[in-house]
Amino acid sequence: MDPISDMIQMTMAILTSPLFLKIAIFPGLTSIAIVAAILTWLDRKVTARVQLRIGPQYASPLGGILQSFADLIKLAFKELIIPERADKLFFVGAPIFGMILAGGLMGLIPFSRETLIANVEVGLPVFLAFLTLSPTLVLLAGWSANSKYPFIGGLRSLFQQTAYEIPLWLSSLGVVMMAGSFNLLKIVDAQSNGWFILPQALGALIFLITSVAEQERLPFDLPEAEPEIIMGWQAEYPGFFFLAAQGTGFIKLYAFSALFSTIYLGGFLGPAPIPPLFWSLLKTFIMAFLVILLRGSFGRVRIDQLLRAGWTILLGLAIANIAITYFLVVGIPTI
Amino acid sequence: MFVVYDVVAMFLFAWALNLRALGSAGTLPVVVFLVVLLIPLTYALNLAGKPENW
Repeated sequence: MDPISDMIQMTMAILTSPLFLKIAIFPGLTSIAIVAAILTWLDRKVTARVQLRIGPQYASPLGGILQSFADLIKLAFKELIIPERADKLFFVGAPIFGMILAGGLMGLIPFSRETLIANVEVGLPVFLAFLTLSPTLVLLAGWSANSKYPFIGGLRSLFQQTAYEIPLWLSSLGVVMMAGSFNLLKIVDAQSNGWFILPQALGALIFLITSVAEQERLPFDLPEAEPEIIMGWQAEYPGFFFLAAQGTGFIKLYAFSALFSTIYLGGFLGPAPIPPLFWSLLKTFIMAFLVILLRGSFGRVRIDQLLRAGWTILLGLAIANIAITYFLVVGIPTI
Repeated sequence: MFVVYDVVAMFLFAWALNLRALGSAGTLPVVVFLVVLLIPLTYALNLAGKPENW
């Protein structure tokens, strides 16, 4: 066979393969970009409504839903100004690598039995391990800018994420104990007799609080804190890099909401006539909406309050949740 | 402290996965493990609460 036509055939086979379509379209790259833009709009609109403002309204007749796409185009074409004394490699690499990492999280979420990029046997720890890299990148971004506010923001992020990461891991441990598996698909299947949010109410609450902290969203947005450190580690980022840094936050919001719905709300499980994909997306967007509501409802905490709560209350409650789950799964031991 | 507890979480994940197979006998070492680590955590937090140490 002609090598060129062989190559074309092979390329076409890759381009039309179900896995490539999943990576390129849904639940992969294209859908992640669209959902992140919609969540940006939802964030601005919901926060505006909570504060009795209108929010975006001019771009499109449908409540200004195209505003974030307009912002995306604007930021993508802005001039890239890199501070003269910045460490250019890390300054440029940190937000881009952060966005890739956040996008990678979506590959682990089972939106339905078929709509899943990677069915990893250790899906839950891999998801959480990806997140562990995030504070390193934020610190690198803050340090490499060679500027005061970004560095303070980077340090705050490191403190915050180290204090909240352990309660986050421990809160999700209850789910593993109940499902007996790390595989996210098996965790969804284990909820066919009832969602884990009921027996794991305490764990779910801790997971929600710590995940909001990991996403650096209000009331835990200390690393960005506009009135105090002027966007913190993002302060020096221009145009596209700022877009990457902001986009990462919204992709994380999408990923965390999807993970919460998967491990606590039964994922894609729902009444039969409606497709599983609908249930999965519905639960994900409800969770994202709740997290966005928190932004409009609570004030920012102080760093000492944040660290104390993470290392004492949340860690203690997470360990208590493990003990409660143990008795739920194994029963009270007889002496 | 963070590194220690991150590693603890890893051990607990391994235990949680095999919880039903291990039963009470496998849980006792985990409880001892947790108590041993919680004592220095309590001490460290106690020190952190004293302004003279800052």
